[in-house]
Amino acid sequence: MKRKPIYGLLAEFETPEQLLEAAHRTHDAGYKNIDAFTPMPVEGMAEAVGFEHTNLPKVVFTGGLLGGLTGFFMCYYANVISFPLNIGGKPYNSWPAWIPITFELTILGAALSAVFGMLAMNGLPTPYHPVFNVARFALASKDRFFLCVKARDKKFDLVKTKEFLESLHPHGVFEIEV
Amino acid sequence: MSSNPNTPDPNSVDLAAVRAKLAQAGQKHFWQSLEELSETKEYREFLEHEFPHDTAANPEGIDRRDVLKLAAASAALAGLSACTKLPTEKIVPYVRPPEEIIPGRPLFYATSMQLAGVAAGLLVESNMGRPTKIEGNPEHPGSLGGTDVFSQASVLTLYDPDRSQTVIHEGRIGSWGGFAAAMTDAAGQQSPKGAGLRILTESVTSPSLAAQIRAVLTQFPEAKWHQYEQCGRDNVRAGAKLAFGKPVNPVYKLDKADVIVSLDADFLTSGAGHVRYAREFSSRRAMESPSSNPNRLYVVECMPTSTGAMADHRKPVRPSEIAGFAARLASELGVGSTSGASSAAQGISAEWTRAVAKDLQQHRGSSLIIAGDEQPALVHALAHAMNAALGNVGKTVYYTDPLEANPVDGIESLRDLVNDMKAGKVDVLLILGGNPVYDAPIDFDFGPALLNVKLRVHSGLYYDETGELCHWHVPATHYLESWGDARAYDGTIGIIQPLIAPLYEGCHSAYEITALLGSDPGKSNHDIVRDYWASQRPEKEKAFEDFWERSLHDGILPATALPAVNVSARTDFAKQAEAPAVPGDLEISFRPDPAVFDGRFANNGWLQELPKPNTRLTWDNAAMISAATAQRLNVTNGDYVKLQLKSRETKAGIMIVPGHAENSITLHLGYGRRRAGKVGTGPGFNANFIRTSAAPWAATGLHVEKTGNQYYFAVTQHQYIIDHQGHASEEESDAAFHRDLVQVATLEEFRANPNFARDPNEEATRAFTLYPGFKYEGNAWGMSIDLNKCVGCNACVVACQSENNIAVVGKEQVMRGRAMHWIRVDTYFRGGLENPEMYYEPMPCMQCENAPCEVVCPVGATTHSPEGLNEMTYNRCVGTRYCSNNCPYKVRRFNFFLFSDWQTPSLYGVRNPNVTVRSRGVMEKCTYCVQRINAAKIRSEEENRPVRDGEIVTACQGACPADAIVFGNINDPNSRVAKLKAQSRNYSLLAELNTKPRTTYLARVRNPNPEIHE
Repeated sequence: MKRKPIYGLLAEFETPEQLLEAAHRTHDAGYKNIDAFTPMPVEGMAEAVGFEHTNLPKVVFTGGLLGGLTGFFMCYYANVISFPLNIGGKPYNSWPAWIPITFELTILGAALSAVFGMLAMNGLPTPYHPVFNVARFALASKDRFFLCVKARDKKFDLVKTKEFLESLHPHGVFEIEV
Repeated sequence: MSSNPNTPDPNSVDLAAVRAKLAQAGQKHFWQSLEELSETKEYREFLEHEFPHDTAANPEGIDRRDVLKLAAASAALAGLSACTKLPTEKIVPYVRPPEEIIPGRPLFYATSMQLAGVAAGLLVESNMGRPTKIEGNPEHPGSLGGTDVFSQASVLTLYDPDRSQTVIHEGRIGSWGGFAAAMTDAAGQQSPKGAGLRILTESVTSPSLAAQIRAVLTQFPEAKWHQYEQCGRDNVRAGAKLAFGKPVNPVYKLDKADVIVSLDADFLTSGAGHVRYAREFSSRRAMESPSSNPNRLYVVECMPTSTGAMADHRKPVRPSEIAGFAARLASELGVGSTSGASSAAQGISAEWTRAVAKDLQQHRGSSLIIAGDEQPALVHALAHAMNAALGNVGKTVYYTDPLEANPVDGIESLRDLVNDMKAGKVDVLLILGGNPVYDAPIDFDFGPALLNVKLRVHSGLYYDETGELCHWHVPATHYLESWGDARAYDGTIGIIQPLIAPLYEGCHSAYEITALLGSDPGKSNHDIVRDYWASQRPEKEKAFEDFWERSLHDGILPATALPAVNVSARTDFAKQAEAPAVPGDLEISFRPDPAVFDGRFANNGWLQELPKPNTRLTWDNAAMISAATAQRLNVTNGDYVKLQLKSRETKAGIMIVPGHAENSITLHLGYGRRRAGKVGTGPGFNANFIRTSAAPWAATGLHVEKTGNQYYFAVTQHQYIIDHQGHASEEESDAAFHRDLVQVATLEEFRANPNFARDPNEEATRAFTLYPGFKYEGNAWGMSIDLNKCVGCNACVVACQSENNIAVVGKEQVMRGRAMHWIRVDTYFRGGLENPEMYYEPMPCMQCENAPCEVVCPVGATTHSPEGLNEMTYNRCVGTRYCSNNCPYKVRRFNFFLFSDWQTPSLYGVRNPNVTVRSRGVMEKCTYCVQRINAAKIRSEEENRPVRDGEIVTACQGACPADAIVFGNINDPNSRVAKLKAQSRNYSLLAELNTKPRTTYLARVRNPNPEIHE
């Protein structure tokens, strides 16, 4: 019988301190593609699993810039090209009047790209995730703390990794079916 | 002058403070109203907020909840009315469309309108058969293209929903057939002598109507024809009779006069020929260059009038003193004796009189003395004698036979009638026009006397005070619905031709009613007039056809001006100088109202809401009084007082008028109507209650008694104030705001410095900007208003209202500063309260190139057109009122409510189809008559040519009798407007704000007599 492919290994801990300790040690052991699941935010967890850098600021900046340019050129198109109106003898390209629109659209662009960029970069929304195949994972929303080493990690080896995880004294180690 | 000094009313005028302020400011300070000088609370509110009552947007007593309730109620009613079945209305298409009518293109027809018998020549614009706008007839000698407020507003009277519409018999609806039968019966009973038949008309200058009435008199030899015109020319004829022995009609040639003396004559805005006279007068004030030679005007008058405001020297004197002054001036000129000279007018010094006399003598043959229509015969006779002595006859004045077909003294004629009525001699009385029950002298007891007549017939536009006392009331046709003819000021016969069939079936003209008595009853109005002229003219058959058609086209019968007659003035009458008034005795003078005349226009909303010259009073008349006399009598603005004259009394509100004569009160006629219609019934005070046949125009022995009540006037004088004083600005910027809005110089100053009106910093101000400025290629519309010519007659205001469908808002809304006029005539005063100089400044939209209103509109509802018009887009306007708040000239008007009448069907007719009728919540303003500009542009494009100079005439320009307003393309250096703007007198208002107004003004140049030092 052919074994089902697995997503990774899931180690269950009883306290956040244990999980934090385990995560540090796993990361130090050379596993990079790891993830942690906790019922509440745990300080230091992001660093512990090796999360260092995000590209979101660049996305927000680009979004803001595009928004601002859209606002400005929308005004420009309307006031100078499409429907020029002489208002109080001012030049058609009276940009100071357009600052509110430009500013508003900059903010809008930045805000939208922040929200949707964050979602996209987090891969959200995710309707199916293999960790739910582990029955005990339901406790991740209650009182248990889980560390996941994914199968796509370069160093992953089902037997060795399982041994390594067990050396961390978890409550239990489970294989995650895809 | 508050009654309780401890708690002064913040809105009352403190005359002591006003005087102190004027003394401090000196002679160079312009001011607009007593409220301004006194800085009353209300004035400050109007200064700081254009619409100070914004927060209480609803009329008193109606709160938001009530409005919702009312809205719900009217919605429910609307629902109910939708359930009723509408009557079947048959529409008939044009199978063969009438010739000439092109839908959307107006036609113009010439006609004439009579006021007190004197015809004004008009061209009436007809849109699809519907008269909508009155213009002057350039071919007519009484108009030369100009008009006055009465003719401009007359088109509203045509469509007045309160006009009587059916024949009324003893209070019930009757029929014309029934009336005709009654008249035939009456004529039968009166045959053959007609001893009991009387006809009462207003002044009749119409040859055809006079011929018709004379035919009736021939048929009934003992019948009598009476004429009564309250504001007629009885005194003019009496004066001519006194001087020449016959009642000739003086015709003035003001363009030939260098020096003019007006003896209480408001010849620029009232009386026969005033439209023509305003044109001739202003033609001598054009002042193209410093070498121009303007005329000089001296005015001696009681109530400040437009003519007084144009005067170079004005003296306010009591009515009783005018005859004394005239006698003294005459004796200085060597006319008559010098007796009575010592009992001279207190207001006028001997030096002044001598200086005027010297000036007149230096201009022999080019001077003119005009006596007012209301002056007694003696003053007229003195004026005629002085003109004769100065050699003016034939040069600046000539005499013709009277305009009236049957010149009689109206008051005496009416007295005869009343005596006959009281004696029971009158069986049948035909009152053809007029409202004698309201306006006959009170001592005649006309109403009770009328009830003695067995068959009373009244014909008039309204079922008025007289109509309700008559057995039969026949609605009269409006002049736009009837045929007729009438003489102009110089005798030229103008044809009255109808623009529209009578709106109501019951309407019949005086011709048709008179015809019922004659041999040819049932003859049509048109046939009567045409047949009369066919019998009078030498042309016959085809030649007459051509003549008649040409006359209808031109509006006048050619060469019918009355020829000058040779008369020689006697001077022996000068001895009968009237007894001078007792000093300190209070006098009253009556004058036709500048807006509603003798009351015949009382139901005309346009005229009621018209701010009257100098006082800017709307919707009322008032007991006009000088400041000093008010103080002496311990009354102040708005005091409701009892005016007692002998045993008679009337009540009126006091209004302090700067420049009014001391010890006298002026009360205008035409108000206090009891039965005028929805608009005219109520406002004002009835002067006729104290006006007697012995003293129809002025009386002494008036007593004023306070009632303790207050009366509130709707005065627009201190509304829309321009804060050029910089009250709220920083100390150092004050100087920039101190340029006066009215620029005035004497002739001497003007010759020394022709550029006096220019702002010396204007160029620098214009350069001080970051923006390159907008280039106007092609047409650039602009306007020039000559303050030297403007006589303040208000014709432009009514013309604008008529052309642009401007709504009437009512007295209460006017008091809140919500009058909707797109052009207003600001009045400025300079000098003391007793006799200030007066200046008019018409204010339409300035159409600023750098319009401050446009940049603050959040929705782009007000923008500039490529031709420089500051345009309102009503559809985009959301009613923020930012624009009006930011307009330094205060020319924007906001529809706080649904001011336009959308409910009354008859008023649909008066609207100009080319101008939107605005709804509530929309800002509106002067457009330079954009509909006329576009019509001319379309025409020029069709003909493949540029728009010609003078092709576009704005409504205000077209109406102006003085030719003070000129509109055109300022990019064309050869256009009239560009040439006027190139004159050295040209200046723009508030140039320091760099708004670059397209409307600019030509400064006023006074021409005082250097020998008079005041």
